Amino acid sequence: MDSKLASRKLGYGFSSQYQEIPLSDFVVNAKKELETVPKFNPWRLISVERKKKKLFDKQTKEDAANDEKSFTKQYKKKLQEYLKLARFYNSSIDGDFGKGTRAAIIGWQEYLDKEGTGYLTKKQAKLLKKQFGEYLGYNYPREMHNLATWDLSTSDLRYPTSIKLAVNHLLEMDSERKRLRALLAAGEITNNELQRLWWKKYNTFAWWRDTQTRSIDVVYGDTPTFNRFWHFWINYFPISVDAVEAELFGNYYLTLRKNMASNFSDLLYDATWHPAMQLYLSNQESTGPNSKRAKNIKKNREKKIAAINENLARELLELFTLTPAAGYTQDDVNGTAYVLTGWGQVWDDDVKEGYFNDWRHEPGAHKVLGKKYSGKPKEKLKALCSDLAMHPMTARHVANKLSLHFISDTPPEEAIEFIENVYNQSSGDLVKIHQAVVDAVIKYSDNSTKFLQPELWFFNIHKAVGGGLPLKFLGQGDNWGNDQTNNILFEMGHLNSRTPQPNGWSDLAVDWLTPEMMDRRVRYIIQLSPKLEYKLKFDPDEYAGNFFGKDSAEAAEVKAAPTFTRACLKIFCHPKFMRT
Amino acid sequence: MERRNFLKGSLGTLYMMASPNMAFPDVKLSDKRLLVVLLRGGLDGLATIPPLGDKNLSKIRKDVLVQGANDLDGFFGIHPNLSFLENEYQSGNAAFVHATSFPYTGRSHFDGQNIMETGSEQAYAVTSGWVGRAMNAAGFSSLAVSLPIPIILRGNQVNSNYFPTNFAKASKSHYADVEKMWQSDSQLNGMLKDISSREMHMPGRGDTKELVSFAAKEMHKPNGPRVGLLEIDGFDTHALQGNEQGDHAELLDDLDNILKSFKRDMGTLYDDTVIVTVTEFGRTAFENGTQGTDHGWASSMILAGGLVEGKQVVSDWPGLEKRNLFEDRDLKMTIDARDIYAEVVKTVFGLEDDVISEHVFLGYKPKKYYGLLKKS
Repeated sequence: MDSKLASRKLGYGFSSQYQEIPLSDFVVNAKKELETVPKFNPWRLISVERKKKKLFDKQTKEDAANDEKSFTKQYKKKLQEYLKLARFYNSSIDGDFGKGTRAAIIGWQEYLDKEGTGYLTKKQAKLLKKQFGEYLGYNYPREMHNLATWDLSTSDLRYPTSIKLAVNHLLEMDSERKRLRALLAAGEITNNELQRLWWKKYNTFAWWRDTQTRSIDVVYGDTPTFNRFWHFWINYFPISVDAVEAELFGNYYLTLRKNMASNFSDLLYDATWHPAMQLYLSNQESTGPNSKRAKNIKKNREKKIAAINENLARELLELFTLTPAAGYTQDDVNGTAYVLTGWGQVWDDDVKEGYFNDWRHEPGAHKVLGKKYSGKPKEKLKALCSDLAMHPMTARHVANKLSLHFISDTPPEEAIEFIENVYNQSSGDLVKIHQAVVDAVIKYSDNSTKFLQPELWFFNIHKAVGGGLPLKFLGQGDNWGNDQTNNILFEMGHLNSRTPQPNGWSDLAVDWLTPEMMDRRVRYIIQLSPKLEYKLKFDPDEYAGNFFGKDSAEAAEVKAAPTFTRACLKIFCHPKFMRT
Repeated sequence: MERRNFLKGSLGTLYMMASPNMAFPDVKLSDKRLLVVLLRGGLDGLATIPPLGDKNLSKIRKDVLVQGANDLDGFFGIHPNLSFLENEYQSGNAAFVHATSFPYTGRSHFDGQNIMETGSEQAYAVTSGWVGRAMNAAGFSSLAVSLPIPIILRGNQVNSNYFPTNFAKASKSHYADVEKMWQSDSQLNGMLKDISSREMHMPGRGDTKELVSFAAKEMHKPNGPRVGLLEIDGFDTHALQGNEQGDHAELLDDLDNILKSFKRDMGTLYDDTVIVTVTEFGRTAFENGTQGTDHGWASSMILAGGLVEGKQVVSDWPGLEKRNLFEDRDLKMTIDARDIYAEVVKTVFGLEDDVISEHVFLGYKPKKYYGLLKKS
């Protein structure tokens, strides 16, 4: 194996400019990358845009002309620089707002879907600076600016990374739902009006930003190996927009990420109590039969049954830790469900307690796998997660899942055992486990042992061409066109946030290798290639030389391709590119 | 707070397959059509075909207890949202089986779904599905309208699939380039052979009724598919299941309307058609603490179509008293679902009993013949 193949197996591949390094250097770098949790940057690009709302309202050309009188020449030069950076302006930076500058300002204003006056108010100038000036140092491509054009005037695109904000927003949305449902029930609005009112206010699609931000980090970030493991855990502890408010995705994914230099027990605990998982597997209203809530039901003679909901408990044992092969019983599932009662109480809005409230919690001790869990509710769950994490069946399961994802659909037993041993010896230390996977990949996998899932294939392409991510978001509806990362991944059958079931997306080629899915890959390259040719100036020959080898038959085929699109097909749909 | 189903359209994925003639041109064709409906998540049989004659039902269920179920045979009733199926039952075109399941009691979705699709007694023991193997034994090749090909269809020699897409179609030269590259690849070779030449006008995505109409239309073609598979998610009703209203009721309403559209669009072909449901398990007899039900064992099965010996609810009722429940909580299986599917496969594909036993159900011999399908 060389560093190129390793960068594809343990990252998202490489671009034309990639220079091969000794494999040992790659391994040292990759392991180092896994030692700490790197800062996740793309968020700042998104959060900047919150304040745009109403900036353009009630500000006439005359106001703007008036404001501009106070702009110094130096400031005007800066503004011209920003317009140039955003590619609206293509003339000299002279601090003189002539015809060219006016046209550029109109271009920018219309780009934001606002009236093009050609003049800047103080506030608009500030926005321009915010949108483009702050990124001067980053050297991000223009597609990033598309993120900054998300229209906040008619929709709410908050994607808070703070759990408190996310939960607050969720509660706000719940009450709006309630209000709209009541109006509908009272016959005051029609179903169409309900939909219109809802989308007007909560046109969120917050999960879109999961894909967008991860794409940006994959293509432009410098921690691809760390990200591959992050995505592995996102799929190991999956949630879906079908059952979870998308607002919670950001914090949930970052919570998983935060634990990646910790141990499996902490990761498991944080994934389990997090409101996103609680909602996804409907644990939040699971009620202990002897809880305060149960007594309250009895006292008020409510027609409710005070009992547990075992959904999360079962998956905690089956998918996240032991697997059915461990032979746990229904009593173990019940015991786990009792431990879990009382979590996920978002209505309580008490982030300090991790959204735990003892209203539904089953008091006393609960037995799981022969061990009694007693004490404070939080300690019960922590102890259970810790014991489950230390169980040898969990080590086996985690090692197996990692091997399936990184090594092969039929990983060699030695590879699984290698990771499993590190898991057991390090008591689930994730840094050591991830580093063991790096070693296992180098040692136990070979050329083309893994068929790339659609999302990985997509990221590999955009990494190869140095960007071109379709990021534009106009916030007008769920269903408009193909030229958007989420739509493309949806078409390919692999939109991360729509995990069909709690066992996550499949790692097996047999689940992806179907004529229709393969056809879509061909179609995507055809759709993408004009952009690569004219906007990105991607050079297929150069890339083929780097990827297949300068004198290879494959590179010669690419060179001989009669059209640009066919050259791209011969790279990205080549079996060698579709596998790692 | 009920967040699911807010502004949600109808759901479902259609799969169609068993287009004859493609791989086995000389095989004598069956004129019969089959629509398999996969109800993923675990159908609550006690809410779908409630045993009104069992007095325990109203004792162990409160919020999820279905009111206003219509009587079928003096003991079993039918959920009020299944009005099309009720009519079909009364006119002799639909039947139900109760307390039926696969012999799997592990309560895991994933093991359970694997068993319902592979038809094996053990999860992950085989990689092919029982419908796929039945088609293979009968000499049908398959065409699925889906993205991934579900396990239940796998095992057929020629598997091909389609699904509506927004991507523009590729040209012949593009396909030719790719096919050439894939020629020496054992997994990719031939993958685009059919898709590159076939013209298919797909309905819009998302509306299951449209997909079913499309299926019916394709099934009318002389060389069109003989078998369709429809997949509906959402039956995993752990919380706020509802009763005659709510989540589960809406799902049944969707199902009822979809089948109604299917019948309409099948026209006279409906007389030669069987519709049958498959689910991984039933749900707990008792209601849980979140106005829902957890994973259980036995459920109910729906059979409809002109080939069904209708107006009967076949059941060997095990009872809902606690001592009669499996592990004090789940409706017991008294009819192996494979017995019924064997009858369906026999009727539709014209397979012999020993072939069904050996190839379709991997050595399992049906215990009893229930006479749920008309003798041809």
